[in-house]
Amino acid sequence: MSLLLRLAYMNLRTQMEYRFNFWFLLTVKMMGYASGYAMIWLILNRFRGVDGWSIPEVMTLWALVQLSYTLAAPFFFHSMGKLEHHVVTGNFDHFLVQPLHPVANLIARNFSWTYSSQIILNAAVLFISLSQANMSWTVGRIAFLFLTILGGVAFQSFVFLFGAAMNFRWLHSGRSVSSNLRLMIDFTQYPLSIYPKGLQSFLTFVVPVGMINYYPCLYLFGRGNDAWFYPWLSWIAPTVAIGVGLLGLIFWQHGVNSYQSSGS
Amino acid sequence: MSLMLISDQPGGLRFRFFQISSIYYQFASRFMRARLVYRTSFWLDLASQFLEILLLVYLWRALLSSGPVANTTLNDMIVYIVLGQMIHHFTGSKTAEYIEDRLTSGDIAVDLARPVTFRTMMFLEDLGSSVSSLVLGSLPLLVVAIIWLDFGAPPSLLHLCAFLLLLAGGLLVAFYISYIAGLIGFHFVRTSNLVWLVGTIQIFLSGRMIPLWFYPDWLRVVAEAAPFKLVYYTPISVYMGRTSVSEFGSAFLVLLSWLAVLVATESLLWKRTMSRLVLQGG
Repeated sequence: MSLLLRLAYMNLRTQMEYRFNFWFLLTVKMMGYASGYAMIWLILNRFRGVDGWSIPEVMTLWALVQLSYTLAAPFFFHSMGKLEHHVVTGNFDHFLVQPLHPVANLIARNFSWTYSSQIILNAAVLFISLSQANMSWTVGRIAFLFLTILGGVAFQSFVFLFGAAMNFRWLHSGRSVSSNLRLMIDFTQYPLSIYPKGLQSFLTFVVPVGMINYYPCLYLFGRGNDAWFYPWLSWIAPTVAIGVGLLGLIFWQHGVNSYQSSGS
Repeated sequence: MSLMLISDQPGGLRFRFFQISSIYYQFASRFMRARLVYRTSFWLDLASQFLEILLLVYLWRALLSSGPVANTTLNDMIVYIVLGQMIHHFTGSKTAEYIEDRLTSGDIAVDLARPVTFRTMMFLEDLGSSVSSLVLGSLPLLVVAIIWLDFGAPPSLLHLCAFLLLLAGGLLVAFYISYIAGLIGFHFVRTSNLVWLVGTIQIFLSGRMIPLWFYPDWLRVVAEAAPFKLVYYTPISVYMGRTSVSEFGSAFLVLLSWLAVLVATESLLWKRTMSRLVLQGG
């Protein structure tokens, strides 16, 4: 009997240890995600914004990127992250002979539930920044906002899919390619108007990261003055971003077609 | 590891007897070659380092577009950004994760039997990967910065010497912080979580992204009191000439006293860790 109690006590202690770890991890993660916003605030605080954009407006830009990332990551982070391993070992053969589309199959096996707290945090920041920023809430704008988020999710999915597809052709190159694409997305942390015209057009027409947040925000905040092709570039921005997401799927399919198994 | 390297070599035995002194050279050159194997990713990684700097340069160009703020020009900020990025790549320490791995797996017994202390081994390992990232990543970056970005020189030779000494001290501080985080993590939580937390705090209190003189007063007080500024802010502001020669003494005093505190903390923690390790092993 005393042994049983002792075992129960030990079990409790093990759980407590894990629970502390669990809460600690959750707190650290939240701090990590909040730190990006805090850093924007720290840099812009002294200058009260940048290039005519107030701090809440810049926060909105970043919140759109972060929210779309945390909405796309549960589907693609682990599924595409493990693809390199599957390709290197040749295990990917299994996915090709199964009756489900490989992308759907990979996602179903690797869906992640742990992003929920970050989604809530990013959505909250987006809502607070929008209400602090200079935007009038109309039904049209709210619908446009949802479309923008959808476009952002599609664009982020493209980065995951494209990076993973590179591994079919050139082993191990996927990680560097997607980290460079993510760096270009980082450029949209601040309004594109701070960059030289050449870089701006690169981020608009070549790698159109501006479609995730900058061009939609021009319309949301009614900033027609410092923009190109205003307002129609803003209006089509979500559609372009969704198109980029579909392009990611095509690239992926193309990669599969050129996949040569490493054999067993 | 080094033995495997030797036996992998054709004619390895002769190699072991006659060329043992060149093992270190072999190690270093193999490390470099390993990083250059995937040539595309090497170039892409270099490009990403450059992009990071480019983003910050344009941000500061916009922030300082209406003239210097707090006596800081765009050229000042370019020096700050480039040096900060170089230090950042130099201090990417894996020590804490390694400690956790070795302690929980029990492999640390092997490390303890080595003729050098565990801490020295960790430090040399860190130094090795830091030097390689300096040569392959930071030096090309510095060349680019000097050619295209008007990366300026320090105001005097004395400033340069003080900068190099403070930088070396700062790297030691960064190593000790990471090492101590590893030892603390072993007692309480998963080390990787603690390292993440320390990293987050460090970004804010070290002045890595923005000099402390732009901080709001309350945060500046906290940052001045913490050791993290020794890694970024202190050496960089000496290089820029923001710290006058008469203030060098106090800068070194602060560095040395923090190092003393960190060394003392480490040896205390190490003793405790070792005593717990024996209990676990028994």
